[in-house]
Amino acid sequence: MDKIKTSLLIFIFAFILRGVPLGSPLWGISQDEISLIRGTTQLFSCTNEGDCFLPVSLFFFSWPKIFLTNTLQIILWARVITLTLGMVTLILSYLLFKKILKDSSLVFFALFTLVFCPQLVFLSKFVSPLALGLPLLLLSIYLMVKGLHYWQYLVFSQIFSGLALFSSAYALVPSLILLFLSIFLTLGKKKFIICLSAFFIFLVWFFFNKYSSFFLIKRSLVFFSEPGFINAINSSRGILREGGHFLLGKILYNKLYFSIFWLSNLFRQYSLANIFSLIEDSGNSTLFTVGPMLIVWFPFFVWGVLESFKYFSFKKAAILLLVLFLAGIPASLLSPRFNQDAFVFALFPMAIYLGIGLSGFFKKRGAIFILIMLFTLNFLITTFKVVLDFKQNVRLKNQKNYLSVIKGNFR
Amino acid sequence: MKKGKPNIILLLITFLSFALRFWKLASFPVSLNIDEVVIGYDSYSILKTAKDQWGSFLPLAFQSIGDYKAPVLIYLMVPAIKIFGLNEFGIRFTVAFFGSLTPLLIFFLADYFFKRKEIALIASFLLAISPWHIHYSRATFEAILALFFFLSGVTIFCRSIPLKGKFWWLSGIFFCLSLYTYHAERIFIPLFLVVLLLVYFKEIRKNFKNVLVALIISFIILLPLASIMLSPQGQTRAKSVFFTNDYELRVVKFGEIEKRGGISFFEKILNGKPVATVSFLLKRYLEYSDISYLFFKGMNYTPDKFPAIGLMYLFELPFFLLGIFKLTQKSLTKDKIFLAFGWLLLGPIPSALSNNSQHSLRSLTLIPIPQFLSALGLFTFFNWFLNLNIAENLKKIFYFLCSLLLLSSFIYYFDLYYVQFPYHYSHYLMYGLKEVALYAWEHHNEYEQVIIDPDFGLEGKNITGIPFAYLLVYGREDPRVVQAGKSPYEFENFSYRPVYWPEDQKLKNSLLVASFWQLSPEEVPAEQIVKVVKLYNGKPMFYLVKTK
Repeated sequence: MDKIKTSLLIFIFAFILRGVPLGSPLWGISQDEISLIRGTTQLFSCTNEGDCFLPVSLFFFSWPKIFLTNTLQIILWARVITLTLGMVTLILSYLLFKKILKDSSLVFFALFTLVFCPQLVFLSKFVSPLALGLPLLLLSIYLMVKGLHYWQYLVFSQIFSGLALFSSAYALVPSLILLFLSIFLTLGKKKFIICLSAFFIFLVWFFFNKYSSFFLIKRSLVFFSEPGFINAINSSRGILREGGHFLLGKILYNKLYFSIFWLSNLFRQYSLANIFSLIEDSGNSTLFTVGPMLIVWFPFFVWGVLESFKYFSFKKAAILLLVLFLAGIPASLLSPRFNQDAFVFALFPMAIYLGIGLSGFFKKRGAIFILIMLFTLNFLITTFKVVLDFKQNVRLKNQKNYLSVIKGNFR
Repeated sequence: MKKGKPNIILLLITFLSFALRFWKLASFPVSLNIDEVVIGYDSYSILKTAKDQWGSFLPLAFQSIGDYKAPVLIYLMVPAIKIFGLNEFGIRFTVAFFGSLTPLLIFFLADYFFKRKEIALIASFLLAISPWHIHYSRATFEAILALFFFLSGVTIFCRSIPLKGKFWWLSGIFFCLSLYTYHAERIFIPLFLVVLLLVYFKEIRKNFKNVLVALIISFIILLPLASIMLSPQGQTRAKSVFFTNDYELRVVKFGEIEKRGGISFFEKILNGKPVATVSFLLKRYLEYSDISYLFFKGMNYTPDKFPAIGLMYLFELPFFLLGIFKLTQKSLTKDKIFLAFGWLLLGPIPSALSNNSQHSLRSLTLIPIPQFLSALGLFTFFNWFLNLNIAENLKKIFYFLCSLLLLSSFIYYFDLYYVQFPYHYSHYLMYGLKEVALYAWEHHNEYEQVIIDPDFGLEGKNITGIPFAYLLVYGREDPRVVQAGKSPYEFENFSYRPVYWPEDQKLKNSLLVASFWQLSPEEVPAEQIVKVVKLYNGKPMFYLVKTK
């Protein structure tokens, strides 16, 4: 009964944070919402605008356009869909954490950090393809974990991975990883063919939707089209060549460097300053300038990572660490800086570590009060800053579009 | 390990350390930087007259260029300048020497920590080849000397514990020397001593007599320092580099807050300047844990997106992470784990409080711990590998590949430091000012005045040099002459101000020295350009122009 009460309380909190105020034009309208208003109603193709809704997310978010004509009402109901998806994300996180962390108190602590995660809160307030891609991926992972014991779930896991693939550009790499993992887990068994078939269906659909696929690859793998790297490698080689060390230049500076640049960018995504503090300037965040996790969680995260090797078996702890590592890959494949939006996948393994770290702390009752005070202050300060940042970014950036959408489409 | 073998290996490591720091010391870095010339000249002045360039007798804070430098390095440089002369080698010798000896200290400290000679040797070797440490050892940075004294203090303190604190008084002296050597230590060491006190409280309480002796001696030594730090001159440096002067905070962040204007009380509490300041500080602090900075690009030898190197070699990364893991698995006693983590947490504080992001010089006190962690990781890995049940030939191939990886890391580092870095950034190293100074000295009697514009740069006039110091050093001007003048800037017929060709071309029989921003070859007649001084990469930087 206590567990049910605690769960309910957490979900009510989450709903209030995400739902209020939903339709108020106080926030302005995001770029994705403008694309949605402007975009076509063809459900299985991409629009021709620069900001494209992939087929699955277009399908999900276009329903209000079928029944409504008023622009603001369309946006409001599309946001209701996002809010619902945000709550579904939390429910799926809860179910997933229950599978991984046997102790219910750890599950609640982990969930708590996600409920109050600024990035997830605001992801639930606006129409965003990522708001759909995220729960689809979580569902896929949850089904995959279940599929370790019952292979049928792996097929469903594949299906949801495939749907995630076509919902958000950021979901490309995680969904591909999950797709391959599902096949790998059934290798050597008869069910392998079923999983492989599901995978091929998505491959076919991938090539069928040429425009979507092109957009998907272009948006998710921007890193490799950075011209600066090639110029830099050639320049470094040229400097050695000037000194007469032609062969050395070729050996030391070649396209293999892309792997080192990429590795550097991958580790950059895990910069504690970007995750827990202020994001580096000119970051690719579409949201705000504070990190996705509250600073007050920092010591618990570090503690949780270290304690995880005591809590889990070495193998499980290593797998969790690997999952955290893999979760940062989508962000590292974008431009060479911290990408807050794509880093969202890493918040879930981080929450698990936080659950472990916080549970150890809560055994020392004297310090709980201090933590609650710090958490409240941190959350208020962060929320306030986010509100100001977002208003400034969204309003200023989309001032023209905002006005044209409101005035031109108001019916 | 056989008895005597560690000593031989340690000797070889020390030899390697000396080799890496002294090889072509006079030529690389390619130019003396601002601090090197002023420190060098002050040291020369002490040698000749026992006074600094401003005429102060044996000062404890050198006025220098208004930044009141710490004294220890300047005094310690006197013998080297006496023997080798006032030149690049003479100026750089002292720091390179103490930097070369630091791996020895690391060995003794690591031996105390891990009680295994193998790990201590690996840690010592890693420091000997560390890009982070080599870079600053070769360019007369006080931080290297301060680190040497600090490590001496810590090593003596730790090794005195089984001796009931017999040599803690000596440890105290070294800590005090470190405080006199570099400003960052004045923040770090007091905090570190608190950690020492907490970790070794029982031992300190048991041997309080020896602690008292150390405290009394340290107190006497530090009295003059306290009076300097409390004086306006002593606070100049601290005030100028304090984080509140940081452009990003003062102008950008506070500017945003002020632009909003008319903010409510609620906003002031939740998003005003105090919150902005704390957020900014936290960000600066956390930046020092950035793996990308530590292992990929921390040394800033090349521009953004260019191949780069971190403070540590990339091959150390997996072992560094393994070392962190091993440390938490109680591979050391509790007191040592706390000491290591305390050191790691405190290390970035002095640099976080300054007005630069990710400043590898000011966080130099951190350097032993990452090396310890990498050494622990390396030892753990190779210990495990040695005991693997695989063919000996396979092991030999693996060792060969590891050696190849180490060698290629070296070669890569060498290229970045000796080739790429001077090519890209010689202007930031003040390259060209030596040539300007030598020419100006040679020909200054031919002119009524020699006017040198201190501002130059490739992207714009974003670098301010101190040409007077280069003239002093390369002209070996008599310190008595300099001291007799109103200031060190005024000697002979040299003056330093912005050059403006449309007006200055009217001056009679003068030599104007400025960068192409002020003396553009398109404006200045070719016959009046007497010399063009180029940067290391061949790009013209300084134009020496005579007026009619």
